[in-house]
Amino acid sequence: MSALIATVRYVLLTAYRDRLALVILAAQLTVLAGSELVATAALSENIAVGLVTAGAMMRAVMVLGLITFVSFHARRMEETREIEVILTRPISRPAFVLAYFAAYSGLALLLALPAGLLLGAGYGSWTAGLAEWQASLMLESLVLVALSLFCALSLGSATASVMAASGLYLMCRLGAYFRAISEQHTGMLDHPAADKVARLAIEIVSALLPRLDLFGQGSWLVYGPGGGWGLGTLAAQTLVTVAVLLLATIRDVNARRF
Amino acid sequence: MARAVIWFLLIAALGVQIVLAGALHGLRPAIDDMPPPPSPLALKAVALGDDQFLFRAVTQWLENVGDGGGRLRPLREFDYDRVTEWLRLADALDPRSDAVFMLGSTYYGALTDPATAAGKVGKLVVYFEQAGMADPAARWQWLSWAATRTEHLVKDPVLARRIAADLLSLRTSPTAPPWLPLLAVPLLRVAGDDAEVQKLINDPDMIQRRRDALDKLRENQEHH
Repeated sequence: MSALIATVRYVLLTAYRDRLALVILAAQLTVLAGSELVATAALSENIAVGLVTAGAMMRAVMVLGLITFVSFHARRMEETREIEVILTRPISRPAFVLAYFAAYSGLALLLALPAGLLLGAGYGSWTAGLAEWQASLMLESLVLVALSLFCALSLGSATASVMAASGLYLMCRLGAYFRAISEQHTGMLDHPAADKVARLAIEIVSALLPRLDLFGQGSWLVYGPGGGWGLGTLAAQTLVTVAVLLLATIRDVNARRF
Repeated sequence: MARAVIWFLLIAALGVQIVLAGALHGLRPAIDDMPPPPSPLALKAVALGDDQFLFRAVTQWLENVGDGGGRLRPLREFDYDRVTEWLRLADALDPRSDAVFMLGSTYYGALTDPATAAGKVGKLVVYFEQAGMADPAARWQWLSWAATRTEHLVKDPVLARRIAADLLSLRTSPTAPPWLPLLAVPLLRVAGDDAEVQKLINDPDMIQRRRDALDKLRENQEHH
């Protein structure tokens, strides 16, 4: 327990030192101001334009901020041999991974909170849709943390980790696209057999990737909750994805020498 | 000494940047051309799961396409087949929104160029007619706009007759506004169907609709 508290404290301290919260808050305020400008220029439905633009951009800020911070933080920990010092304590490797995930998650949840508050205050729109969007952003942040931690501890460099985590995240957000391809055939290959193989490959890829495209729907901000799925689905997807990524990270940390 | 050199080089580099900016001042980005719209499948890829954000981005882009650094491409130079394809594509992303109607009617539909307006706005009218008839209760504005533009600007007898038939078919609709079929009369005048116009003017159902509409109008005026 003390190792967990020490880890959380350490992560929060280094995040504070890196001015992560300040940078993310500044970026979110800039996004809000920019979205107000875009909304003013819109011909109609100005508030909807502003809300949806700000929501999507704030999510992008969170994605970029969390992936970069976790990737560089975890790599720095290894490069400064801090990880070896930590592992000399009475803490197992799985506990080490879980402690760091818990610490990064706490930080991510704290950082995700102002997004909804800013959207609500900026557009005077305190709706059930905003609450669902906010909860979804928090769940998505947990997936991002697990994804970044996995990439950072598995790959040899922070840059590679940022690139890999960003690429995987984009792939996960293409879930609806992959589903559409598998339903409509690929159409890329003339030969029916080749088309079948390509379709099978797409189906395998889409079965392995979490459906992050279901998270953070802009339509919730405009029309309220809906779309055929709710927080229960998103929570289940988060739970499964985080479990897979954490188990993969633990396996990876176990297999390596520190 | 080294610090002074660095300061000197930094200021010199900034000076070069200012000179370069002056030299490049005349260069402007090319005016955006409206490309053919992508397939719905390609659009899914661009949306990254957030169709609503893509919808707002596309409608904003449609509002600004043709603006190249302060220079504007006049609406008369736009290919309106392409414009309607884009509007149709955007509408499919969020059928509940009126943004596409507003964009089509008040921006692209505001074309007044005498040589091209009738033909180009006519294409929008055809699209609005189809979109309006798909859900007349929610989209009666689309039909109303299509009817009045055909009457006053497009003046195509075939189109006018077709829209009039559409509007008259709504007499049996329990959800469409009851006054909407009244817009068929001026359209039939445009089409030159005088006998049909007389018949409709004397039709008891149409007379009652006209009375109800006028009563409603008076009521609204008194209310305000």
